[in-house]
Amino acid sequence: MRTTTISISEDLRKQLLKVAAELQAKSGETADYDDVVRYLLSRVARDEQLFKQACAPVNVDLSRVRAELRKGRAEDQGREEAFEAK
Amino acid sequence: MLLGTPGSRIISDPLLLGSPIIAYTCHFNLSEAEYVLCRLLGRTQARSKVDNLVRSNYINLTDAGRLYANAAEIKFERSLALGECYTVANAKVTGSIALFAFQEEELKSEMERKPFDVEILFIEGLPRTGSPS
Repeated sequence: MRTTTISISEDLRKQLLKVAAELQAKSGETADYDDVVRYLLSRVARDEQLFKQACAPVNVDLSRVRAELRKGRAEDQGREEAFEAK
Repeated sequence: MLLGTPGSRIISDPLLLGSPIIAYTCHFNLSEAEYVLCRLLGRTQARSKVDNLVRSNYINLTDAGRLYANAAEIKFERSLALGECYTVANAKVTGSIALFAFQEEELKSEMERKPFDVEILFIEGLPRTGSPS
C-alpha cells in the first residue's frame, strides 16, 4: 500500500499511541498509526440500527444461496468462454 | 452476513460490541451479494439490506488504489471467479484476512495448488461461538 507523511502534534501522537496499545492488547497483534487511524475512522458515524437491519436473519436456505452464487458465477464463466472462443 | 446466519455472527457480533476488528469489502463483492439476494428475496429487500450495510459505516469500502489490478492479476494466474479474486485482492491491499462464506472446491484446489500470500478463512469452518482472534 502506498504511504505518505502527515504532521500531527506531539500530544495527538501520544493519544494515537495509547489507542494503538489498546488495539494491540485487544487483538494481540501489532498496531501501527495506519491501523489506529483506520480504526478510529471506521467508528465515525456508525449507525447501529442500519447495521442490525442489514444483518437481520432472513428465511432463506443457505444451500439456495450457495446454488444461486454458483449459478451466477457459471453464467459469467460461460460468457467469458464464449467470448474467448470468438 | 447479509443473511444473518449464525456463522456470520462471528463477525457481526464483535463489530456491534465495538471490537477492534476492521471489516472491508468492495463494490464488486457488494454487487455480487446484491444480485444473489435479489434472486432469493426480491429487489426491494436485497437493495435495502445492501444499502443499510453500506450506510451503517460498519464496513469499509476499499475500491481505491490498485485493487482492480490486484484482482486482475489473481484472475489471470488462477482458476477463480472474479468475485473471489476481488476478495483475495482486497485482503492483500488492506493487509486483512480474506473471509469466504463457503468452502468452494475451486478455491480449495487453488489453495492446495499454490498457497495465497494472504490468510484465507471460511465462515462455514469457523466455530459458532466466541470471537475471532
